[in-house]
Amino acid sequence: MLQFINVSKRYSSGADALKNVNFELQKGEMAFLTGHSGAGKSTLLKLIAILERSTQGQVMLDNQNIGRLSKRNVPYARRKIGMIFQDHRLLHDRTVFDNVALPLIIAGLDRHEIQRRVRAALDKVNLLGKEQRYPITLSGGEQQRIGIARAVVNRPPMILADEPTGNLDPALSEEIMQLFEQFNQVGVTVLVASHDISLIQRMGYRTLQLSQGEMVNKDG
Amino acid sequence: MASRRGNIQRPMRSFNLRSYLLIHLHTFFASLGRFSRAPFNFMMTVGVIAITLSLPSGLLVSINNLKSLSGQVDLNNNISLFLNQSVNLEQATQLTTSLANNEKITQAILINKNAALEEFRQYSGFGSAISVLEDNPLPHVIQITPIATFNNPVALKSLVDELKQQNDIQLVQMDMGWLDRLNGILNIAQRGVSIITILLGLAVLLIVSNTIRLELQNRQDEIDITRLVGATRSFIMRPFIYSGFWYGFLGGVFACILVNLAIWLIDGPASSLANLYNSAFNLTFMPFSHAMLWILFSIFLGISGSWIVVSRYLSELEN
Repeated sequence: MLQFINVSKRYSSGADALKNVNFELQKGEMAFLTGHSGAGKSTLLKLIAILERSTQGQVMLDNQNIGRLSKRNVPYARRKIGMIFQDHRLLHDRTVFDNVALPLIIAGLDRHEIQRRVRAALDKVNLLGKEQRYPITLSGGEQQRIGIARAVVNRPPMILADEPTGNLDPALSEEIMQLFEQFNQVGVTVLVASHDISLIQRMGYRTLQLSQGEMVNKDG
Repeated sequence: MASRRGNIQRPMRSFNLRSYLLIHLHTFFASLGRFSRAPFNFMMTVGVIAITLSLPSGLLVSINNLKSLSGQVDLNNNISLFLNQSVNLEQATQLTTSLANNEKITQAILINKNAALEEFRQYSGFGSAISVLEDNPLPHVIQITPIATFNNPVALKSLVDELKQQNDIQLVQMDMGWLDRLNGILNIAQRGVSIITILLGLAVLLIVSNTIRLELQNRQDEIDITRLVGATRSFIMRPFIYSGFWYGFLGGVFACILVNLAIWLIDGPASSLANLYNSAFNLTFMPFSHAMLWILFSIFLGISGSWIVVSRYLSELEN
């Protein structure tokens, strides 16, 4: 599903964020990405989201070299990835429903289909009945679940989560992780960046570890 | 290895024209809805655009009005020949006939000095003062119209010089020479308005660009998020282009309203002034077709201003 082949990223400032990174995620696999701040986690995620391009090597998503995509085709590649962020990145002037519906509106689905899928996604994250609320009126855990609903509503083959439990207490973190496991069980590839080592160890999935831009462990 | 553009899976399966149009319609009114949340800011920008555009459109309407005024006077190239006081009616009639036979002149009309005095008495309001006069102070006047080929300054000058040679003629006056000059001035003014239109059009473009730039800054998060969930460039641009449309459209409409309001305010005094000159002159309002063109022009400026700034902004974001 996702493959990094000799990927290096050097920023124009001259800093090497990633050095010759190689790894592969199989379709339907779930893995964690860990490492200290500045180890290159963010850069790696940005390469997958095509927010940055690699200086060297190939980033393959679904057998497609996304590092070489033309600008015009980038949005369509992004739709294959459901992204989840530590700060949720919700639109606070729109209702829960509108937030979750955003990827479907962008994809140009018709209204009935949008309604059906948004309700299904909200049902999965246990937020059904709060469609017309505004995100700000909900708790941090609920806001994160809106973010997750938005990431999966388009049924992407892959989910990418950047510190999804960073601001949550252990019980809520556990809940969120269980959601990821559920998606993984229906065949979605999941990559979670986190430095919550205890949580990662408890979950017991494969762990990719970055240190100073190098992949020091990809089988843990 | 996959090709550069290979196997892009565009969601054509779930795409349909109806929902595409619905998105457009939705964005169209959503952009208007956003304005309703900050109506003061919105109306300020619309007001600036309207005032900016009302200047060139107002000037153009004024020029057209003045042109129609000069067009109403069809005596354009008539020449008045004031005869010497000593010339009597018989001599004047003879001269008129000979002038009428001149190949350079299409028409010669004698204005009898007694008739002229009578007319003056009636219309000038100096009736009683004129009654005091013992002699008629007015000379006989012959009004001639040169043939069409003399309808240029050089030819007219030669004709005037020729007429001045005649002993009986005291003064040769080109009645409507000032109209030519007015037309000349109006042509310059029209050129000036073209330049002002370009400059102020540019100003409107910058006003819209700047307003949209602020809007972009306010909605930076929204843009980032929609990009992340796979929005195309045109999807992100659309609401801003519609904002530009509304600025342009409403700015243009209000500009036309302002100009016509000004004409309406000036029309009263202008027609009473015209009455003093025995003219039924009325100011004409901006013609509908002109108003439409101004509104279209304004919409064009609004959309372009928005397009320039949003596409620049997005190009900086893209890698």
